[in-house]
Amino acid sequence: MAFIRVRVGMVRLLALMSVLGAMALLLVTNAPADTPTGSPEAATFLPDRVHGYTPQKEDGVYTYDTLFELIDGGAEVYRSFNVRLVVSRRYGKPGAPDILADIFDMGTSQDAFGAYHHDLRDGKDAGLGHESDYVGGALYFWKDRYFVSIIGFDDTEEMEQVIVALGRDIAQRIPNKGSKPELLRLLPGEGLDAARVSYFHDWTYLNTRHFLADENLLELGRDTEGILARYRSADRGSTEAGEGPFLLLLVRYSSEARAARALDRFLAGYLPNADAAGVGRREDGTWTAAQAMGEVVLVVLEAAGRSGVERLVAEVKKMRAR
Amino acid sequence: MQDSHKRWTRREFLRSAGSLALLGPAGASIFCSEQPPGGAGVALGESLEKRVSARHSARVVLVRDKDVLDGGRRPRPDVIARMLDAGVGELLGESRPEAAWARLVQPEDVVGIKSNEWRFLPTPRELEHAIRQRVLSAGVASDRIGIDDRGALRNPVFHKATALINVRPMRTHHWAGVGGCIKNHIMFSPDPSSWHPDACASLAGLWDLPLVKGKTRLNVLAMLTPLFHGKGPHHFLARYTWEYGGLIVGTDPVAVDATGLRILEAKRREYFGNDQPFTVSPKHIRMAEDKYRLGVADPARIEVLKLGWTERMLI
Repeated sequence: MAFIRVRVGMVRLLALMSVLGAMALLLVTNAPADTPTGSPEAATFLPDRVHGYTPQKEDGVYTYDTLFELIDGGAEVYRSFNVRLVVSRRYGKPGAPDILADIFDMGTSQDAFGAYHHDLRDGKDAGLGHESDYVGGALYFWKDRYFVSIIGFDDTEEMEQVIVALGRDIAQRIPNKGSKPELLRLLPGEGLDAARVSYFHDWTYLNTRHFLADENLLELGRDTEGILARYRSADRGSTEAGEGPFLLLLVRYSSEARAARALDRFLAGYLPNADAAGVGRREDGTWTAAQAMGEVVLVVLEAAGRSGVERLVAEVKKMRAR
Repeated sequence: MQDSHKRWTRREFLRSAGSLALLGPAGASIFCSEQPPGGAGVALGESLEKRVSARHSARVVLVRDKDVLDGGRRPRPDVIARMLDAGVGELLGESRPEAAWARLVQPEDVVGIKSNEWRFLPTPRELEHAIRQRVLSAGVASDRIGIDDRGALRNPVFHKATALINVRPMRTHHWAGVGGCIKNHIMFSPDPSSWHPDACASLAGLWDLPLVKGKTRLNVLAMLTPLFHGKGPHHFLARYTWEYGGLIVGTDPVAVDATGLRILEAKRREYFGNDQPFTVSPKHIRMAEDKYRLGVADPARIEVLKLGWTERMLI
């Protein structure tokens, strides 16, 4: 009998190894050589039950390559942030609208921040994860390298309670908190529109936030990271004529040499009339500045006057020196 | 901009004397203010090969009905069919829908109804059915009619299609700012994501694809419950839709989309209390005119004929 038990156990072990091996093979062969892959840890963050809601069907698991099957045209957004794996679960309860919970493994907490801040974050803070946003029956938050989206197919107080409870459960299961992109530290606070700070890696994504040029003038790629922040001139006590919002762009490169090269290319293509300080006026009358601070390139865009540009550049440099 | 209001009465299918003056032979002036070559014998589809110049104007019809949606936000089949008939009739200057559709498609056509199946806001089945019924009424055999979206490239009807009817709901979009009639032909591309750079600015180029070029006879932009703001991975929250109860029909996809965009912009101003910019600029609509000459994007050169329900029209 002992022999039979050992033999059955080995059969089960071999079967499990085959399944795990197939899953590993699937994850590897579905992804191009340079495509990130992720672990299925995210699936363990989803509770089996919350306020009477239970899973309605098998979880969907999507990779960088198959994410289109879940979110169609929206997949490009998360691919630009190097999404590795997404686990999607539909919860249901008799007589109640369903809930859709998606956990995005973004690989790094910085990319989870980027995924979270792709959208305007103007809902109420649910106090979950690093940052959270609840509006209209939907909850979004990020914690460590995970970005979480929970959508209820209804917009009621009762649904809000369930969604927030589910979100809290998920957040508690994610062990680490993670950290925001280091570049944020360089943003002056005065006049900053905090709801509209964007994080990015590539030129295509940056152009969707603010179109600069068809050509990748800043030589952005997967190994660069950037922040695009909007500032309200009036909130900065500006006295410039034609006040309006202006933009601060910060990009970190892998080396000072790369940053310097990118700066040269940007100035040549975008601001050929810049002076020695990298400040110049565009055809539309707005002012732009571009400078390198070590491995970081700083660009101020669409400022109404030169003094505002110079002041912001000085503030950023002061932040960097801290 | 040029807007005309019409009282919604039981005689709403009858055109006014004023609108008659704007129509020329074979409906050619629907698309542009110049007459196409060939006169009355030119099929409507052929006129679409012309590219617009700065002198061109366009006309679209906005038809609304406050009773089009039931309690579950499903369109009532009879009402949506009546709206479609009214819109197309007004557009083509025909009092009978059969006559109007006979000018759009002929019995020898193979007709692809290019729909949209986005899970959160798909083209209502009731609207697809209404269009299909009118294509049948024009004498097209049922086996020469296909309805598809993501399967269009694999669909034999669409490969043989001589005419396309382009229909979808209006909504905001992750990568293009808004998704309307111009964008709806993206599934004819073997690589849809290749159109994404620069906020999908080049979408009008889709209309030069071999399976598309010169075939679209009519554009129907469903404004029943438009999505005016998107959030999250799925880009959909019911809170950001509202019951507008309308259809915009036209032969100029750019003018149709530009009109739908105006309505979304107005709704966003109303909701946010300011000119909240779209997450991604819907620049492809303007580019469709400026670079591709596909149609008219400038509201000042788009005549919007309005039928039916006028309350909270927003434009």
